[in-house]
Amino acid sequence: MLNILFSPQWFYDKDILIDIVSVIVLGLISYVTLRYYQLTRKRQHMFFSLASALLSLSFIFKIITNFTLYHYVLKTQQIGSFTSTSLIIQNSDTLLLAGTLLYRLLTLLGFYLLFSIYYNQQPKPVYTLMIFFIFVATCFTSTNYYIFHLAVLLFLIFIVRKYYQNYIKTRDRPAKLIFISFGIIMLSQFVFLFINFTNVLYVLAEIIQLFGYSLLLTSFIMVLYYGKKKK
Amino acid sequence: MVKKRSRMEIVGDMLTAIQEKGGKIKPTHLMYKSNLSHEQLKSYLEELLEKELVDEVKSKEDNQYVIITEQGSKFVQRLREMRQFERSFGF
Repeated sequence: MLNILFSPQWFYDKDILIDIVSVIVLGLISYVTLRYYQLTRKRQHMFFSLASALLSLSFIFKIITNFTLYHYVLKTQQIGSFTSTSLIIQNSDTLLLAGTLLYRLLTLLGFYLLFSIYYNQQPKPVYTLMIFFIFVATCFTSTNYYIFHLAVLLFLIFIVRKYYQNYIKTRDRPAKLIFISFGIIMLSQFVFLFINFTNVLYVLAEIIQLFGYSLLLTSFIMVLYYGKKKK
Repeated sequence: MVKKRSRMEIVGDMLTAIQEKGGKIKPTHLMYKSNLSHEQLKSYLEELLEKELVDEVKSKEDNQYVIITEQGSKFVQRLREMRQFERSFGF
């Protein structure tokens, strides 16, 4: 059985709005960095753009899954007749499962790609093993949702470490904000680990995530602004 | 050891040198400002002219100048943004 409902009822749709913000921020970053890639043809730029696109896409799947869950599956359970309800649940089961797994797979791939930009000295067998573990963490941990969040958290710890080192090296204001925003996104993943205990933690994790991605957008706008300003 | 500049960096340096001179520079000055040999300057200038990032004009005194086009200025702008992005994200 796949447990995908963590939100309290009063928070339905609000979490979808938070995820829409993440989709927009990541989509924008992906688009701008794709233009940098067209300019430089650097592999790092392509990876960064692709990672942002994968993360943005993963949130789209999360939104579709949650929307289906809140507006079709759960609603029908309450108001529909027994026969039609069970049919709808069976139909949407596949969609919910596929949506959740795709969300997890694309999130892990996105963060792994971002991780690979900063730890690019990995031998080829390590890449293969990592992809294998990502598939395992996605497909065989459906009941243990926290393994997915733990894997994302681990990737983020190493990514945030690099952003901190970069900030120390450059003492750049946008670099500091990027480090903080990814730190906040990392914190949200930490809170997501415990959402099974109480659904209030799901709300908290989503709000932290919103704060993290909003700050990432601010950092990115600051990067563009500093780039325009500097000679 | 001094790192070898990429083609993109050389183009960026050339366009920035023109901008810093008010958008108009003599080819010889451009050569010195961008640390290029005569042959290299010729090759890069051909490319920039072809891509319409710069243009060549002659003054009343018949001196030849290289001027930066609007497209060239936009290119420098994007290059600056990209450099800041690389710096901030630690590439």
